[in-house]
Amino acid sequence: MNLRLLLTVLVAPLAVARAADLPTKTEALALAFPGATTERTEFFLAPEQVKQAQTLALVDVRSKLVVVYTAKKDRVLLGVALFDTHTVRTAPETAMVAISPDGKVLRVEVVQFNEPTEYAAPARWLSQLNGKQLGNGLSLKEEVKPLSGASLTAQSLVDATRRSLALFQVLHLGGDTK
Amino acid sequence: MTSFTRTVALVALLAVSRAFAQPTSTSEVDAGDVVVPFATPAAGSTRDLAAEVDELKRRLSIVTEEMETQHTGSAPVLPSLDSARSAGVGPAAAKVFARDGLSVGGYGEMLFSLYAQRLQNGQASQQNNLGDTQRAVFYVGYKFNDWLVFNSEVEFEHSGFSDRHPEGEAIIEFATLDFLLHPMLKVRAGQVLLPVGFLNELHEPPVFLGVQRPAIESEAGLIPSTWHELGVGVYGNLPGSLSYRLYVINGLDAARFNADGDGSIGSGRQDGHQVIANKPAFTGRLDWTPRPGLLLGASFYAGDSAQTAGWQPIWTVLFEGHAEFRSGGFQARALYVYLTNSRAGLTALASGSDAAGAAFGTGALQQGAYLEAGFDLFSLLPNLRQGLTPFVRGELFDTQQQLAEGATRDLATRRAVITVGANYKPITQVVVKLDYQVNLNAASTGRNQLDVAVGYLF
Repeated sequence: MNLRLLLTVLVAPLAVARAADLPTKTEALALAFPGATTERTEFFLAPEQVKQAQTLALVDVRSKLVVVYTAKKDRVLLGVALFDTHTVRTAPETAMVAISPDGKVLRVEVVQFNEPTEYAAPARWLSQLNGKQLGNGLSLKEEVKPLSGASLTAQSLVDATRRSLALFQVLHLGGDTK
Repeated sequence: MTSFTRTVALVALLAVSRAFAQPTSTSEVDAGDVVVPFATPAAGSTRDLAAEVDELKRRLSIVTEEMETQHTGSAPVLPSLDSARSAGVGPAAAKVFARDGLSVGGYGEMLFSLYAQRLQNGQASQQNNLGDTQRAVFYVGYKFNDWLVFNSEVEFEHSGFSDRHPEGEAIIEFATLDFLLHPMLKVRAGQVLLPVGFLNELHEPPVFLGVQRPAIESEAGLIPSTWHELGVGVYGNLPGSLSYRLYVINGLDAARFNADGDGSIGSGRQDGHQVIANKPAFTGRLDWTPRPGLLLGASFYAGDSAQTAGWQPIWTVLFEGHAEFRSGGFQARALYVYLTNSRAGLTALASGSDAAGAAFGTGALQQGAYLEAGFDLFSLLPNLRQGLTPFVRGELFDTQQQLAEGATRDLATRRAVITVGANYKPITQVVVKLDYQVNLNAASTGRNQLDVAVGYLF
């Protein structure tokens, strides 16, 4: 009996082996918008829209192709989500930034992280981005606490959040900076 | 030009002309649409033109979905998913790698040290100023799949090694295979960095203050960073914002202790180079992040360092506690180390070989602590992404606080180091450092120095 218990404990982690802790894009959307249906929409940015987003975000907007997932439940708009892919150190990271209709961060989830796992941002650190909006201390120098030992990850995620919020404003609010 | 390239170019042209800055929803194309071959329509044929536009839309969707897959590492979430799957209960989307799994990086630091020509006691004492390519480190990693990862760092110290400059170093700093079984249980095997202190695992120049690493966390101090040995162990994250590491490794070799006469264990590291593995050691770490910006943790090392046959056991036991706080532009660190070597084991070396004679002077009790604080002045200018962080660090430590019976104490091993300086970071990955160190010791032979360095990581 004890032997069986020991084997179960030893084998159980192998049975659930996977890279780990990162949700898929579908799972990330479901975490941000439980029970909602999502619609994928592609936007091709005009040069002036890129410039406007960069001015708002204070970070580069390198891709002119933006994919926005709009989440609705019972025909009510819950928000949108953008997946921002960027380089942390030398390897890419993709973060979903879910945004409420009034332009506040609902949730940030990392769905791809190819740097060593020690540099990954834990959920608790990510949660401090919730509720933030552009111009509201969304900076490591202001209200966002740094990530000990992973400063590049923290900077990348703050930049991704700023970029996503700015793109949301440009695409959905016509660049209104309120 | 291949047909695929031609297609992409045409799709792009049409996208620019017809869909520029306009949303294109994949839901506009139904699965049941008739796919019309991409051919030149007959002039004036509205129906053919409409069919071609539909076909171009379909192809545009394919291209953008492929691009999203490549960029984000997984396929798009398409409208065809039913609501249950959208709610997160569907199967995981297949992950693909946005690149071939190879990762390359590096860091380094070049410094210049200007030494005082008088010692702490006022005695004139010449020492050459020093310029050094202190470190150039190259990182290579390879991600075989979602749960098997190789990571390594190859380090060149003092511009590397050659016949003319044998004092340099080219060494594997770490090389590990990680088995990512579960977020709470990952297995690491190979040459590992010991998880002790702040600097041993994370020592890229832009991430620590000062040109020199804290003396306590250097070879002649209490935690001889960079400390790396062969081993295997587990690590992961636990509920409650905890993270841990626990390894079994080859132990230190006491026969090399105190080789530089500083009382420390640093020269007893084996660095993964044909190590004497007669006695294992254990090392581990537990960190707690109660809230972002605050880190509290502790680590340990324990092992019998008497690798030489016939020697009495010399247990080396190290405990270390650390705390870090960061908020806005402010950052502070505190670290305390308590280290013991079996006094009986060291005492038994009194009549041994030359190596044993040197090891005889190793501190049986070693202790020290440091405090460090800095403030990023540019944090007062939120839109400025650069950093300028003046800092001060105070260290107090003793590598021979207690000795083996009959050993002679060198008062120079009781040290205080005060460092005042600034880090300037034009971007996160590049740093320019300037600081002044006041080196004091109980023998009054300390020598002050001015250091300047540039460092980078990528």
